[in-house]
Amino acid sequence: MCKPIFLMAALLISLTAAPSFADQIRLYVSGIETVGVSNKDEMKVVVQTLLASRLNSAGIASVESLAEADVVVSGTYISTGRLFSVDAVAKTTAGKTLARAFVQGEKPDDLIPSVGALAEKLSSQLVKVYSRDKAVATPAIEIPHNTSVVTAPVSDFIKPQTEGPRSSSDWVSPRLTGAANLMALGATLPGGSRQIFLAESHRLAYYRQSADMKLVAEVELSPAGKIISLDTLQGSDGSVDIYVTIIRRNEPASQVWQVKGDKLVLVADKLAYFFRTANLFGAQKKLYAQAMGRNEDFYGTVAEASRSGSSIILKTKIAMPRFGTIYSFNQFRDRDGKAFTTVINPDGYLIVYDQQLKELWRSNDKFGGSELYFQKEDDLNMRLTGELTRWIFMNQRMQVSSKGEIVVGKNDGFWVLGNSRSYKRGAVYCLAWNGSSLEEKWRTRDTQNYMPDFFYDEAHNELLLLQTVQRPGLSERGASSLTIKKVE
Amino acid sequence: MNFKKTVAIAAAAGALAAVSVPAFALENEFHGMYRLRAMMSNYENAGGGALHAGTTADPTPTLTVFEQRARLQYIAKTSADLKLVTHFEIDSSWGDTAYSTGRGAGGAQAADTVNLETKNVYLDFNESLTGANVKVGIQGVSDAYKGILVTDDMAGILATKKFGALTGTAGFFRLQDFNGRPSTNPAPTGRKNLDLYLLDAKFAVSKDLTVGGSYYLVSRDDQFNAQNMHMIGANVAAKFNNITADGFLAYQTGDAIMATTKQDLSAFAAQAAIKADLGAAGTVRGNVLYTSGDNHAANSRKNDSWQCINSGDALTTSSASYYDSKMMLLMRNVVNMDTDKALIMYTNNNNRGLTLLTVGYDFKFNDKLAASANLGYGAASEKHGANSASIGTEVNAQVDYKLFSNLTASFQWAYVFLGDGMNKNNAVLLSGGKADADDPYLTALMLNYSF
Repeated sequence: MCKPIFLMAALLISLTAAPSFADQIRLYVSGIETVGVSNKDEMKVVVQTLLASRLNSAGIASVESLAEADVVVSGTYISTGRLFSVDAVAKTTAGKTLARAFVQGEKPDDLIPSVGALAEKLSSQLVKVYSRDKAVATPAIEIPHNTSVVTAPVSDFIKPQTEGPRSSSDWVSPRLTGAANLMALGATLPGGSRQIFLAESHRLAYYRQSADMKLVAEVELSPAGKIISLDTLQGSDGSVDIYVTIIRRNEPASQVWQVKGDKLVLVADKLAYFFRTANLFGAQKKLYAQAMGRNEDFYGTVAEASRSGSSIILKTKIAMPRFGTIYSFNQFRDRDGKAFTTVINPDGYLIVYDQQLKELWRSNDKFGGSELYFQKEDDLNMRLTGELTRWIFMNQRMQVSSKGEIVVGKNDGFWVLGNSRSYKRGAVYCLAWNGSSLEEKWRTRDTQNYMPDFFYDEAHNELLLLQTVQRPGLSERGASSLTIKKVE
Repeated sequence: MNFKKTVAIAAAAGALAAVSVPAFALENEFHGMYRLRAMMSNYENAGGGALHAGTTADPTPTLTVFEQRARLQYIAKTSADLKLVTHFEIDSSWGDTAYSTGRGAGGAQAADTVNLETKNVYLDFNESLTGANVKVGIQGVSDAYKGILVTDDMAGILATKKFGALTGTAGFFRLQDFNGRPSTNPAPTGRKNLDLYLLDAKFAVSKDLTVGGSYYLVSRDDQFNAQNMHMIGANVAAKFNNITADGFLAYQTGDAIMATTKQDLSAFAAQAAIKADLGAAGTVRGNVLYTSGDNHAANSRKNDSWQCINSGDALTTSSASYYDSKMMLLMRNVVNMDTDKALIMYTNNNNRGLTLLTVGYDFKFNDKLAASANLGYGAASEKHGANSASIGTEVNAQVDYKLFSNLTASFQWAYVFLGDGMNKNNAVLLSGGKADADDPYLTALMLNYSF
């Protein structure tokens, strides 16, 4: 009977005796820029290594990766003739500056002692900042025995930690009439404004966005069809094709529009394809098409396509892995140039496949999520399914940056049950392949509303987030808003 | 062993089991539906089965029936490759019974009835060695011929595998184990059965053309030692510009599986359907279905009538349909619930077979409002001594209004001009016919919610 008690005691002792990592500042020395030296790469590594090792002290643990760090140190090594200066700044991972210091030397032999002196300066400042913060955070107040603890007054105003202050660089559109499901970017116009196209179920709108967002033209489509995808492709002559994928009476009956003056003009109709413009491997945007089969919702392979008048010419075919459709896939390369295909499966998990389309990795978290769907008549199975139609949900589309990073949206909902979906917030994630899994590089803070679509404008380094601020009702079209964030 | 030791061992075993249980990420998926159908008719009476105009009073009084159905589907999903699907149903007609136990009840004042039906319980998994999708258990199954042989819930196994453009399906289903009726047939379980074996193949020639072929075997060994019915069929679905079309041809041979005397079978069925998208003007549809009837004498050893599979202990409940006709009174309609009733309840049609022609029109006014209208004519393929083969001509209409994306309110109206085979004076009529019988009509308001 005594043995279990000893074991428990030993476990407790071992737990309490474990070193408290929370007392140490975990610091990572990131890149050191070099100016005025011939052997730049070598000098970067030298200064970085010296600084990291000398910063490692009793109060500071110099860690190996950014992911483990509380503090990030970056710096610059400047050399002019025989003189040199090393300037360093320590910031929190959120970007708040904590300490700044510099050292100078008159000859190369002074480098090592100078870096030691720099590490000392930074260390003392950091320890001071952290001990001050700690003192503020945990005031050593003695609580007299037999005295009830008085709860600190709670403010009537609670600031959500996850929301934080919106970046001053964010641009937010005014309320836009109509709950748009889809968004696509057109050309950047002279003067810097750009074309933005939004689509509701039966309506295509053309906006011009600069300091404000102005509705230029709008067309209402037949109620018999439903817009399920909106894509743009700029031709060599500068004209923008707007591919509007429409499902009409169980079949794709897509259209192509163009902007002529301030009007939207239909240039092709009744195209029996699903369309998408995508930047596979982060390369230039191209047009892709996939057909619908008699039995399959998405038939056969996805093919690169081009348009000639009202006819679509299919070119190179792309074999799809499991769960792969024109809307659920994208492709990227790793640092070695190896190609991978990634797919969001219908359950919302991100899957990475190798060149042989063999599954390599599957995310633990769900991504994507869309309230947009199309329906196909399925009355022959109604006796079995209880529904006259079958629901096919669209999903957030993935983009790939020129660096091979995956940019993907994610919506969370308070009610995602069967075919009833109601998401309440969204975010955009940037993930990079580290050789074995997709690793998060950054993500946006959550939007206040359902995010039906987003677009990463890599040329402007901006992220455009479409939000549904009011859902459509029996007689109202609802409303949307557009937020543009600078990706820093 | 004393009590303390026993408890200690049990506790240790329990703790060990708890520790060694693998961590499954189980996802829960729910679907469901609710339908209320309020009907005013001169023949709906909250009872299922064939409409026998001859047994109704004349003039037939108008009646009102309110029936409702709720379905709840729970799917326990371990991964994209493995899930357990369960599907339950609660049917009631307003005012039927209360404080009772049984299906399709509990709509009377005070309700309080045990009336939960289990429709489906099956395991759905992707088999890793072959890559085939397998469904094992009680599941919904439909033949590849729009259900004119069988479309129902049944227990068995169904495996589907894709080979490029070819999709192959194989299945086995135990439709009846006649030991379920021990008072009449005390054979051990598994000795006298009604089994269905399915082999289907579909080949997608292109995005616009799919061809298929089938072999079905229905095996029954509760009467005449053993009976086997073989069915082969071919089907096609195609699209030409704005026109979609499908067709099939099927032939049955072997034993007339649903006949009460031993008969050699030679029957066939053919169907063609076409749908034209007229753009903003709507859609027009046309369907033709023919099932062969028997033209031999009643005591003949031969039977040419199309066999459809029935269910229930007495094998009298129709498990076949042709919902594609969109008829509301002439044929079984897909929204029918406990009052599932039609002039032509079985595609076998009392061994007379069936000839059906329908045309329809669908129009969508906007995202919320849609309407359709249908006209259909039904006749027996063989008269069996009646003066006329005509069963009737139906005209119907339906207006659907979407209150929400998943809640639709519908108004239905249907009227059948009975044919001479059903109500002509001084004539030999088809079964169910009665001289001067009133034409059946139906008006219904319906709410359909699904998630």
